Order: sequence, then structure tokens, then C-alpha cells
Amino acid sequence: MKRIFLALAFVLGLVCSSLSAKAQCGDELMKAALGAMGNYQYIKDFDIKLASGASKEGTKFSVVLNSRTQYQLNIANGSSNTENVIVQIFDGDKLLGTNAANGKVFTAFQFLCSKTGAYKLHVYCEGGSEACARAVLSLVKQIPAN
Amino acid sequence: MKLQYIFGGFAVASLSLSVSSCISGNSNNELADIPAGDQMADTSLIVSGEVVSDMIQNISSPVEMANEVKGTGVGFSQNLLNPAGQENKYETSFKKAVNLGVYAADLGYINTFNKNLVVVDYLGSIKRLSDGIGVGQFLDFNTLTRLAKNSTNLDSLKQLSVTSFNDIDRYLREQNRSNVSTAIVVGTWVEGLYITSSVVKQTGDKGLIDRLGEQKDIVEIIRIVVNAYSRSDRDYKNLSTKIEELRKIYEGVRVTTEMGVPETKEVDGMLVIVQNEITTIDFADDQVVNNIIGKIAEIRSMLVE
Repeated sequence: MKRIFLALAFVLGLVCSSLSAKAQCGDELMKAALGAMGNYQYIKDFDIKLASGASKEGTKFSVVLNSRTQYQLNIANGSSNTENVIVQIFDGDKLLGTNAANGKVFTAFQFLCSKTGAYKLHVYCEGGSEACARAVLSLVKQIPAN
Repeated sequence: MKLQYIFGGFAVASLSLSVSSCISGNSNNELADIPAGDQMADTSLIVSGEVVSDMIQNISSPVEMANEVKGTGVGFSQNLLNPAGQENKYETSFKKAVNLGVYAADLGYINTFNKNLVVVDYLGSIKRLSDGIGVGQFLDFNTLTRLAKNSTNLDSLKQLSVTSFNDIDRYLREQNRSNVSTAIVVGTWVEGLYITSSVVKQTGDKGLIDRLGEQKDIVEIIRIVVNAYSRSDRDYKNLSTKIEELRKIYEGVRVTTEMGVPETKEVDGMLVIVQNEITTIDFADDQVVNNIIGKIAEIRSMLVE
């Protein structure tokens, strides 16, 4: 009988843990990122899942951005993350910037794009810990041509 | 010092190599009719999902296109759009998917101009086409319609519309149905360019003309992907021929970039990254713009007919 209770408790624990992870990394994160986006216009979101030990390899996303356009990226970190995710933006191999600046990791940044093309977002955790996050890309403004 | 270079050469060459090395599948060159429904995934070439994602994801944002058009001051024109209710004539999976993309761009345009009464008809067509390719579950038709009918919820409508299409795209790629996803993206891209070029014809707006010119590298990416699928799909084969014609016209466009050093600054607590490059678009002559506009209209007509 005791074994049955223990087995049930174990299964219950697994279910609760799974549901909790979903709450930490699921729709709530998307809502948080959209809330932080404010009144700008949603363009796209990125579902970020980093495995433990991934270190700076992290994960990459591609996105086409347009010239004369200012974008914002809002990042909602999972509540169980031990560190905030870092996002770098690349044009080919050229690093344009990162949200890790001035001694802190920002949860949002804006990018003033001056060349239409495919850009890479490289997402990682400095300490290589397991993490989840949702990033929302939005349109801040388009700058008229001269 | 001004360093100029023609954007694209190496990137596109390596893209070509990566696509050809990541494609596998049917060596049979026979072009069969693609049946309606979900059969498209079974009959097409298999292109690495990651490679396609890299190349074609988010190539066309209806939000950005529509805002750019609205920014010229030109009013809303329903005549520019593919009329709602055309979905019954699209029988193949390709046609359904590509016109789902066309309607996605139309929806973005309609939403940007807050024409919520028009939205409802388009939502119906979008729902039927998405059901036709097995992705209808990602469109909460009732919520979208309710939002469209309630003029105080238009921002939510815009957001839910775009997130729904992103969810469809993500799902199709996860299911290894990138050929269907690609057709949607191409449909959105072509319709966006068609609306843009129609407004260029009306206004001669310099910003929009530059936007057309900037598509040179995107045309090359689309040509590579469409060409890969064209080996086993007649609809893709027809599209591939037209995209190749468009690419040739784009040889008359030169995109140059004056390199700069990116900078990061904090403005009122917000981190701002500034690219600091200057892109210049040059057309060999005025006829190039007209030829681009004409070819886009031709491709769009072929897709929606």
C-alpha cells in the first residue's frame, strides 16, 4: 500500500512539475512579452528554449529587417531562469549589438535598421544554464525616405 | 572613407550551395497534378526545414508593407485586393496555400486602415483556405470575427491576425511541410509587392520605389527556394519561370551600402542599437521600375486567377 502511495506521489509530482514548467515557459511568457511591447505593432515572436550546458552556442533565429525602420525586441524570461538570456544581433558575421550592455542585461532593445536584409539573432545564457524565454519583435516607426 | 560593395554576391552563392546540398528527393521529373488537401507534403521535394527557415522566414511582413503604403498618404483602395470569396476556385494545395498568403497580406492592409467591416469577409475566406490545407485550428475565427465587429478592439485584431499566421508557419515547418509554408510566404510577399507597386504607379513615391529595389536579394532567395520545389510540382514550376524573369529585370537594380560602425546608446532607459550604414538603390533607367511593376502584376495575376 505504501508503495502505491509513493508511486502516486511520484507521478503527481511529475505532472505538477510538467504543468509548472509549461506555466513558466508557455503562454504566460508570450503575454508578458506582448504586454512589455506596449503600443508598438507586433511583427513576430521567437520561442526560445536553451538546454543546460549549451553555453554560448545557444540558439539562432533569422529575420528579414527593412532599412529606414526602427524595431523593438522585448524579451520575457522564464520565471525559473537563473539568468536572463542574452540576444545578439548580427548582419552576416558582423555583430551589430547586444542587450548585454553597460554592465547589465536589458530585457528590451531597439534597433534602427539601415539596410534591408536577413539578420541573425543569437540567443544564449552567459553561464550556459537551462532557460526559456519569449521575444517579441515589433515595429516602432518607419523613417521616410529623403 | 566610403566603402561600397554590391550586396549579395557571396551570400547568395553560399545560399545556392547550401540549398542544393540540403535537398533530397524525387529524381522523377514527371510533373503530376497536385491533388487538393494535404497531399502536397507527400509529393514534394524535401528541403531541410532549417535551411528554408533561414532563407524565407519572415521575408514579408504585411504589417510593415501596409504601414509604408499608409505613410504615403494614399487612401485605402479595396480594388487593389484579391476579392474575398475566391477560395472555391483554388483546388491544389499550392493554390490554397499561396492564396492564403495573398489574403494574409490583404488582411494586413485592411487592418492597417482600420476597415474592420471589410475584414469579416476576408476572415471567412482565410478560414476556408486554412481548413483546406489542414491548419484551420490556428485561426480562432470566432474571436477574430468578434474583434473585427468591435471597433474598440482593432489592435487586438491586428495582433491576433499576425500571431495566427506565425503559428501556422511554425506548425508547418515543424511538420516538415515547408513547401506549403513557403507557398504562403511567397503569396504574402507577392501581394505585398503588388499593393506597393500599385501605389508607386499612383504616386511615384520615392520611398516605395526604393522598397521595390531593395527586394533584389529577396527575389534571389525566393528564386532558389521556388526552383528547388519546381522539380516535382507544376504550380511551383510555373512560378519558378516567372520569378526567373523577375530576377533578370532586377539585374538593372544596384544596391550599394556605405559601411558604418554600429553604436549602442541608452535613451531614456531604452537600449538603442544604431546600424549606421547608408543603403543606396540605383535603377539602370526608369524603365526598370516599370518592368518590375509589370512583372509583379503578371505573377500576382497568375497566382490569384
